[in-house]
Amino acid sequence: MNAKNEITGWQLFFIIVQTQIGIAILAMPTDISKVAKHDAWISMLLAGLLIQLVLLTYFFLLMKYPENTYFDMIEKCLGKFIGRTIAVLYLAYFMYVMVISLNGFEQVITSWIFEETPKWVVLLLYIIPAVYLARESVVILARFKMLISFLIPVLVFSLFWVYLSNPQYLYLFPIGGTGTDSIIKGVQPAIFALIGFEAFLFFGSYVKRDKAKNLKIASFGTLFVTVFYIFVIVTTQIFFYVDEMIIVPYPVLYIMKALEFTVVQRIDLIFLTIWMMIACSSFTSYLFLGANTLGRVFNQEKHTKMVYLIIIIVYGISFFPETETEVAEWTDLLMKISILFSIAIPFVILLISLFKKKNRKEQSA
Amino acid sequence: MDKDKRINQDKKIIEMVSIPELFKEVSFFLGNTQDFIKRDISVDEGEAFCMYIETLVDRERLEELLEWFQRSMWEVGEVATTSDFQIIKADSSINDIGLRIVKGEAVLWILNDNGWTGFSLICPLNRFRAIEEPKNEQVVRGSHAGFNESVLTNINQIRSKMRSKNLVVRYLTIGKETNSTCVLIYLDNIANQMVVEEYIMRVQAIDSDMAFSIGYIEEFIEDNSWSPFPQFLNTERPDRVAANLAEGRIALMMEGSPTALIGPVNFFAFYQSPDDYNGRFLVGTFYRLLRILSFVIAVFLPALYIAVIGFHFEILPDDLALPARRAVEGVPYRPIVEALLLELTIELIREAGIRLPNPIGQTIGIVGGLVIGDAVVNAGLISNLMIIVVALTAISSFVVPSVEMNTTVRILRFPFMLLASGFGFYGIAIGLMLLTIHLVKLESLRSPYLTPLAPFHISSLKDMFIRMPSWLQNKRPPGASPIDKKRQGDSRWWKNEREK
Repeated sequence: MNAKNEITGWQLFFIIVQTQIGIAILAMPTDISKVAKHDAWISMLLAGLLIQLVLLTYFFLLMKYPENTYFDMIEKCLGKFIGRTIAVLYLAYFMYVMVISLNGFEQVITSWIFEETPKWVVLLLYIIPAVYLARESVVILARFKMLISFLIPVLVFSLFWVYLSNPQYLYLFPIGGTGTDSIIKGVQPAIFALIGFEAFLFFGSYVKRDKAKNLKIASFGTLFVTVFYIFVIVTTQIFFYVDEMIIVPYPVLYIMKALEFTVVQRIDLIFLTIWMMIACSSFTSYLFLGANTLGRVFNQEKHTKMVYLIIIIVYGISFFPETETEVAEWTDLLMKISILFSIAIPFVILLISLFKKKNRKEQSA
Repeated sequence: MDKDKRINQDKKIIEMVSIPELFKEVSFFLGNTQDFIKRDISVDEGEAFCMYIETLVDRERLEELLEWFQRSMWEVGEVATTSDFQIIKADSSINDIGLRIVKGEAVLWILNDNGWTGFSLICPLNRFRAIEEPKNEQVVRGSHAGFNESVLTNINQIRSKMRSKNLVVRYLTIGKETNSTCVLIYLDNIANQMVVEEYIMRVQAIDSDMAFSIGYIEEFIEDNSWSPFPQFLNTERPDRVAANLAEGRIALMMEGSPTALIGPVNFFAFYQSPDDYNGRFLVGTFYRLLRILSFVIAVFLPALYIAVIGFHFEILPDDLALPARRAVEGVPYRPIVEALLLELTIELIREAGIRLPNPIGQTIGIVGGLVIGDAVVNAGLISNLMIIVVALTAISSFVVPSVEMNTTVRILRFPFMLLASGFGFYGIAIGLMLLTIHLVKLESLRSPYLTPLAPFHISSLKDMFIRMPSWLQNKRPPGASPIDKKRQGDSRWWKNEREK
């Protein structure tokens, strides 16, 4: 029986993994390959290393204020009013991520299995389990994420088939041949695919015992996801030639579609079913964070009612981008603001907190 | 009337002046019931009489006790409280006396110059069936004893299985009218005191007027009554209870019920059978995996079939797709209607079979299963693939070695079928999410229901999907948060020794 609202390092690890692996996994290889060509995996590697550095920022912040949540830290550094404002901005950011996530999910479902089913039905079904889970405490959330992580090895194993059939390793060569410029440009969509690592900052405050050790364990979560993504990219690229990759929207699903078993013909449908659960789990993290942030803004202890409020708003907004191009525009915007919220703001806060501490020392001296 | 009764029950025995008055007051307290009887006896020390309810008391035993009482040792004060006699204080109220009588004790009062002296003679009339093997929990190897309706016999069976100084029995009374005796049994040095207290608190909190069986109590004390999953393990087997006590769990039993209610329990406990431990570990593991598979089949197979036929025909390999299409084409209904019709039929056959005498039950099985099954395909109402699916599902749902989980599994597949018929695999995925979240949320006596999986405990996986040899399971499973986590040391040190 663990105490309420306390999670272990491994639970945080899986929360991060399950927040990062979401909608992006299907489209990510194509998106990066469009820029970095056959060196997409190098972009992903660079992005992963970069994010490991960002996690270092988070780590310092969490260790500096071991008792506080992220929003507490902001308030301590910048005062109550600015802290509140930033919290509201974060709330807007979370909701925006949710809207994009819903739309991305809907696109996959309509293009792959249900062409005729109306958007509102698909999304309504999708949010029911998310609401059911996000109402609960962080402990339940963590347990669920840990349980559902058993599905990730299933995805990995089903992709191994590519290596047995007819892998074209030559597609990956020459390594680095696309040029430094393209590779570095590819880092941006790669970071976007890895979005969700900010979970470390928000859920990290729930880790209470052995903070340093447990946070170190959890920080390997993003590394795990990076390695997993590199595996996915390499697998898709030795299956499809780069020119093919760019026109195939969900390469992983196409690979699965080509795979055949004696009992099951279309593995992609099963893959998609598993992916739905993982995607929904990622969506739930943001719903939970959003509800907690809103609860903070309204000074509410319990976040249960906030979940309903947020999901109604998000569900409503998710119908605004109607066409595919509109969704793409909204997603591009997210790509830009996500860097602000997940990298820039925490970094500034860390700088201010360091500066403040020095100030206080000087004053006392 | 109400007021009279209240005055009556608070009266003290000391206030009475004569034997008839005392009898009248107690009789009034018991609603002047006609099987309440007074019997005068002669003792040297003064006037004496005995009162009891004749339908609750063993006459022969009572006569023996009275005779012994008169003859041998009538010296007040020397009679200590024994299992047959208890001294009653003279300042106890009519209420106390009445409750003793209702429990089946005979109350004896002596009135002399010193005032009232009271004894309670314990000679209950017990009529119980013999110890038999429980019909719904039979095992191939191992003990064939089961509980019966007497709590004392049941505790005796458990105690003779584990003669431990740490085995604690706590008596609790519940039911304002029925005054049923419940007993809580646990091992003091293993069971977590917080869990024990929680269990006792919940049982004592029951404000019901009656408690006629343990299943009735279960609803009052379980964590979530709206959940389809049982949160206490019901068993009629002493060996199963003993094994669970040794893992730090707590058993609740009740006078009149042959069932023990074991908690806190996790999902996988319902898939464990005593047989697993009596056989070889490979065999135990195989059957345990088979049972888990049966859960998956029983809940998901009809839903998967409906989803495949309705939405994802392309998932079938070509060789199978054609015969499947041919089988389904002639059927006028949608797969969900087919499935519901057939599932309903099976449930009907099962429900009809339960209460019928054995020979008729078999006939119903044959007529229902074979005749209806065959005819329904020939009539073109239902495809033969659906018959296979539903029959396999029905068999799978009966594999669970626990009756409550069995019913749960049978109910659970209906929402999945509906979801699959509406949204195919997507619906199943949503249902699966909801089911998993529910299981993760669910608690049994505040300990997580899905415990070795979520929260994850690698050491107790040894006794979950697989059953590792018993000498490898050195730690107690953490589900019941036992105080003493270590179960055993190395029992096979001689093996390494010899190799040296």
